[in-house]
Amino acid sequence: MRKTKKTWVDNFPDLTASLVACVIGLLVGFLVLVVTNPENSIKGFKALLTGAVSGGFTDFGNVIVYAGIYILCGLSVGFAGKTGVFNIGLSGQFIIGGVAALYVGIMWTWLPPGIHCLVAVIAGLLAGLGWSSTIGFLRAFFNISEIVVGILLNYIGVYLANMIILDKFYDSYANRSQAVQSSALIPTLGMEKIFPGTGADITFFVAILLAIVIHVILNKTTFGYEIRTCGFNKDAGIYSGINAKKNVILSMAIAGALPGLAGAMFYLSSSHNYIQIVDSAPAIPMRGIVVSLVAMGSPIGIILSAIFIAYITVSGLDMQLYGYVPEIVDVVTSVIIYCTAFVILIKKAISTILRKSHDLNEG
Amino acid sequence: MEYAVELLNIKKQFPGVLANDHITLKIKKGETHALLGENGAGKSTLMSILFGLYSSDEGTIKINGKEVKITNPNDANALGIGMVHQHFKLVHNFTVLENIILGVESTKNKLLDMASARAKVMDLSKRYGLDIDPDKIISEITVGMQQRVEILKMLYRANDILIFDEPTSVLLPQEVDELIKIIKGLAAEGKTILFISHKLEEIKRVADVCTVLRRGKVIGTVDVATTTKEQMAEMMVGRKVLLQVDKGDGYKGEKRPVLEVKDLCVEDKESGKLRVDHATFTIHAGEIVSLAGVDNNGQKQLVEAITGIIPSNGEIYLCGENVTERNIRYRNTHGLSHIPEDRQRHGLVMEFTVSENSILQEYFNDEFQKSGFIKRAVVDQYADELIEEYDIRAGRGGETTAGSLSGGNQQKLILARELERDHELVIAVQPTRGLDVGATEFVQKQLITQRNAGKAVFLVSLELEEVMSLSDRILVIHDGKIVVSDLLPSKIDMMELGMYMAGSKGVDKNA
Repeated sequence: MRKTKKTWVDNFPDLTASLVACVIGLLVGFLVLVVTNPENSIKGFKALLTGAVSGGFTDFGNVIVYAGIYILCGLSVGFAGKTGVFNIGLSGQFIIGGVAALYVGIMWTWLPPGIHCLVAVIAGLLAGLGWSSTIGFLRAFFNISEIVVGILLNYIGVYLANMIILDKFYDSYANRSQAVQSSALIPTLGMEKIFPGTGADITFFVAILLAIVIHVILNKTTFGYEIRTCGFNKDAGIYSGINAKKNVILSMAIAGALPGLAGAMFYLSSSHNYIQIVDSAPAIPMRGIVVSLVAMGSPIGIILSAIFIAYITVSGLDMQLYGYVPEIVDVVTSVIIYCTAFVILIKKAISTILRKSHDLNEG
Repeated sequence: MEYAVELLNIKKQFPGVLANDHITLKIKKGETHALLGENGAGKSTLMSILFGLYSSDEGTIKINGKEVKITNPNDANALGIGMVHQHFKLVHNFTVLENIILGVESTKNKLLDMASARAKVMDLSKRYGLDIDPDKIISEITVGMQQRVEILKMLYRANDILIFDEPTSVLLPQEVDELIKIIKGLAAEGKTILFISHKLEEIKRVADVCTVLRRGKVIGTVDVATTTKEQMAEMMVGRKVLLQVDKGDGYKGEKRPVLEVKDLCVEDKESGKLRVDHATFTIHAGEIVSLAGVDNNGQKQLVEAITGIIPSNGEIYLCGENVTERNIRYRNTHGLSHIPEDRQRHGLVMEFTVSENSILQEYFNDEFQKSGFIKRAVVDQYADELIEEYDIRAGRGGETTAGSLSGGNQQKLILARELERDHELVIAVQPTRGLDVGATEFVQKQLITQRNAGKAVFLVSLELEEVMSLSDRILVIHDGKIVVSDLLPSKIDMMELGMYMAGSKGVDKNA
């Protein structure tokens, strides 16, 4: 077998596919703009590309806020995915994490500042972990689909959260929970001065740190090795004596802790320190599925794809300046996001093209 | 002389492989023409093109002198071409008769006319000596009879060019004899027969002419009667081949028992039937013991019970220690090495690199990890050693993904991993299946080296030649029972072994 010269694409096949997917997504998004309002399409597209950096620091602050949450939720899906389990229960874990954090943030006022916030965050993390462990347990021991359980637990989570809020810390005037004590808010490190009115805080940095931690766990440790073995090929895992059941439960628990943490940090933010009483599951954490998909589950890739999707989401709003109604803005951003989800197809296409050109070179 | 089939300049390119490289093959009317080649030589691809399953990139096909286009099996059928596939294409819950007429049902007043179909089938059956029972359900009849049903399907469609793809690979020795008799009968009736095989013995017995393929090219066409097996083998492989395995000096040390199995039973979860029925046997250090048997007679369950993958009743002793209640990991770390039958599903993680796969059974050992972190440098070096020692051809060394290795190299990787770690017993299930001659030789040599080094080797194989040439002792399993456990390959012949496998010989000691 002759060794062919390695190109950039050979070295970073996943990254290339993800980038191509993003570009295709943007092009299709542009197509929607052209179809709906041809005259302004160029300007609208420009807004889509530059909106978040041209609108001052507020918009950029919002990108950071969303990116942080998207990273955490994307990591959750990516991590579970490595074990071969699909975590679709993000909303439930997110809202349960949020409500647990609020409980500590509102009720446990006797905790000193600093500690108060930490305890609230940990409460959210543990709540998400416990919530998702149910999914892992049912999957491992009774082979019940994690998708069905996850979706059902999303609804249960929302209603349980509402129940707790109504019972313990309800603000009937605004139909939402009471506000969190300021001692429990996530530290901002002065970011509120750079990004006024956005709620930018350390969440984004915590998320990046966790992405690196997850990357290390998956790729450098024996636990990660077991998880990936079972995820790729459960049978080979069983043959080598790996306890697949234990790994499913553990990885699902970790996968639930991340959205739980995201929920806690989201609702403990200075700009959004309450939970509104609504009857639907929160949509923000569900973006984690696409984030992970685009990055093909790679923790470092998830940082990038989360920033991209947060950026598109925030920038998209600027298209309203050029006569695109909010619904179209939603359509465009969704189209882009869902086109990027074809990343695996694109990866296959790229590798086929590469192989053909290699064959030609060799033959 | 008129040709029944002419394949002219056929080219077929698959991603990365030139399966057929401008192959020209001419088959005379009424001749039995063998197509010989190793796995991956392009035999099946060529036949699939003739049968319309693939389309060729270049080249023409002529049937009875006329140029034709064959785009699907119906075209082939209309031209009188029939094929018995290696894996039969039968509807398992239909009767024999229903299977034969499927797709060409004759009707009377828009209703199925089974009576005339039956008459025709029985007539064909008698004429060609194809013994079948038309009313039996397919899943209830033997593999040999299923094959006869496939042949009748072709005859019922009045095909006169018959393709047999590796027809003997699923048969007992006795059934092989019968098949060869049938094929000779068909040839005598003027049918043109294409016989695909990699077994020289059969080709010698059945064919008039033999075309040898290697790596997608025609190496030559020879007259079978005047060519020796050795010559054909050399053409097939491209170098001189030893048809005999050299077993070297045996193990001189103490023949202590390594694996003892006592009254082992495995129950089928759904039916409650015993898939392994009170199996009792012992394997000693320094011997290769083979488990012979017709496929699906409990071999899989027996191996899975010994390796701890499925629960069982009875007792299993590994190096004198009772491991019946122990888990897979314990057995793997206490003397058991396992080369599983399905190397891609059970032996390797195809998405992992060679390096990652090399520690699949040992990643938890202190050699390869420290407080939960894998020692990457040590692992990579270990993988490089394995690659070197076992001659694993990997384009990018330890970084190559297992999925991109060829089948032979995948098997070498598993072999390297399982034989290099501490073990006393090697369980090898179909270790040479689908491998080319070179890789097969390598695997067999490794197993013999193991034996000579004092390891116990338990070989489960459906290839009787392999069983006969490698084993020191043969066990035969039939319907979950070990019917005999002390056959010596030097004392019995294939026929006798076949009778044990069919269950018509051998005492059931536990009955």
